[in-house]
Amino acid sequence: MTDEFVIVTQALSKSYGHSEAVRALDLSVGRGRITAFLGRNGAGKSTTIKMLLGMIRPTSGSGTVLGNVINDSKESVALRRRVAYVAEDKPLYGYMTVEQIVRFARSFYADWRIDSEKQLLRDCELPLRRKVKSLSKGMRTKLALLLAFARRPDLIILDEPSEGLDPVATEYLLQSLVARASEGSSVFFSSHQISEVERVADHVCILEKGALLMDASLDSLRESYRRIDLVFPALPAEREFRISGVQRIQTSGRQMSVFASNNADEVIERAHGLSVVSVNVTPIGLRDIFLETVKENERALV
Amino acid sequence: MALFFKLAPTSGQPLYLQLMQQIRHGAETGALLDGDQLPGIRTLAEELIVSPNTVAKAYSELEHEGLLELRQGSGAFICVKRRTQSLTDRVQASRRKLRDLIDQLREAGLLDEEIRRAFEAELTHPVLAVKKR
Amino acid sequence: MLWYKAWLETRARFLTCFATVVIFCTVFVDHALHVVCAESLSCSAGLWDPARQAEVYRLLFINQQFLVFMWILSVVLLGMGGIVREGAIGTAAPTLALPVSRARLQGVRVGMGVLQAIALAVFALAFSRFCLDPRGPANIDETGRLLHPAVSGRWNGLFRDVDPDFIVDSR
Repeated sequence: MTDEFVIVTQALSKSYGHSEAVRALDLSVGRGRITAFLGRNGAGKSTTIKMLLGMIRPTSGSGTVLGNVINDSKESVALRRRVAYVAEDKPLYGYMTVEQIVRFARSFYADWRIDSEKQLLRDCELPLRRKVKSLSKGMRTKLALLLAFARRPDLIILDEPSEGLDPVATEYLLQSLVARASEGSSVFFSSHQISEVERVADHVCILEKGALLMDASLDSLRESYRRIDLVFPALPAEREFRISGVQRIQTSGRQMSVFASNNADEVIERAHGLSVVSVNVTPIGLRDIFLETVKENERALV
Repeated sequence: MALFFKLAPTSGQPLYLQLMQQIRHGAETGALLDGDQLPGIRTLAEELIVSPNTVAKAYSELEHEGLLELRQGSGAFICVKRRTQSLTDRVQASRRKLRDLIDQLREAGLLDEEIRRAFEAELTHPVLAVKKR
Repeated sequence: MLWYKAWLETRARFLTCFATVVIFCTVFVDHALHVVCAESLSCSAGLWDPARQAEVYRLLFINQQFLVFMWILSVVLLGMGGIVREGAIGTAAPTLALPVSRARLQGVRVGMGVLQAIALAVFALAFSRFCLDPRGPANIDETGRLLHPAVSGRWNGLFRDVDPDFIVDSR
């Protein structure tokens, strides 16, 4: 049975005392896609991921990963066998050598690929006999990622994978990620590196204060988000442009800048109707989309 | 066979469309000839470091248009049919028109940067252009 | 592989306890011999001089007490160390993300601790026995050095000739 989604949650929540880390999250991550999970620090991304893997028990709500219910401990073990996960802190056993930890990890997963393992060990130049605790941070990160990429799992979940990696290593990471995706693994990763996300992601989810603010394909964002800079002989009222899709309007002198998530054409039509002198339309990058989405959420909450 | 594709993730245009354009451009200028093989989806995705879905979508759309032929197991091959050939001729003709237009705008006193921005502004609204027509 | 991991984790602690027991037993036997043979430089019958039975028995008893005490200490050390260590580096370890149930993880940890405790106990007893082997007395030469029981050829049964009540009211 092929499900359309590899991850589905229903009203997934986690509270610590009075603070809600994750609030009624309805997440759905599509199969065969590379989905990026964006959010500020403390937005609840890591908590969500840990709940999906059965490492944290949800306060309420439910979810399935690859068809396995996350609340059930037996199914949770089964799903962890089919998922490759690298936590944010890239945990390893310091007292083991590189060789030992690779052997250790290998023993748990049927989808392990020895040829990939050897290739990755070579490419990353990891010394087999050295103890993990005496590796540099970059080496440790590469090793932690290797333990996931030497497999062919149905789903790969990465929490801030490129943290601590130099640009060359980051390129290698993204390349490996894309390679696994080409072979059929679905990828779900959280990242602060917007530029990386813009290159490889098919889909973007934005989490803020435990709630999902956006769940859209990157292509649709690229096609609809526009910044429209207008110059008028006499500045019209802002409300003329407060139509659906317009998120923010800034004015200065005779200039008006409109930040629109869609409906840019209507904005331009209105502008022409108000005798605009100059119209300049530019696309909006993911970074600005993210910042604006989060800020708008804060404005709405106030 | 190496063709240098460069995708710009922040240009406001979906990456698969950019890739399609660049492949088409390659066919028009003759960098890609009838029968040439493009890299496989995985290979190209790894080379460009983009999602394989991007490459897959570009290839599949171009197959719809008739420019590419996807042969199971062998890969993607360029198919410059007579229809596409006339497209190439049209593009060549438009390039000449554009050259004249740009010369005119330059004479009118516009800087190249201004001309470029004006084009981009108009281009990001193909829908609007359709409406106007 | 979980057992291997548990072994790697507790290896140092276990071997320390092990070494401590070995050292203790060796020191004890050496001490015992000195005490027992204090009056005569040449202790040809070694520890199993019939005249010295009570003393030896008492020393043996003390030895076993110490061993039990050390064993309990070791178990606590091994056990506590295990829990504390995993707790401290718990979130820093990839253990929870493994496709193993928590029950199994705990089970292996506890199991390893139990196995090591048993190993220590068995070894401690065996070692003491070996040093004080009735089939071959622990011998002491003129300089007071301990000789391996296998080297001597004499037979002195430790429990054969001794009346258990003797130990209570001797000396």
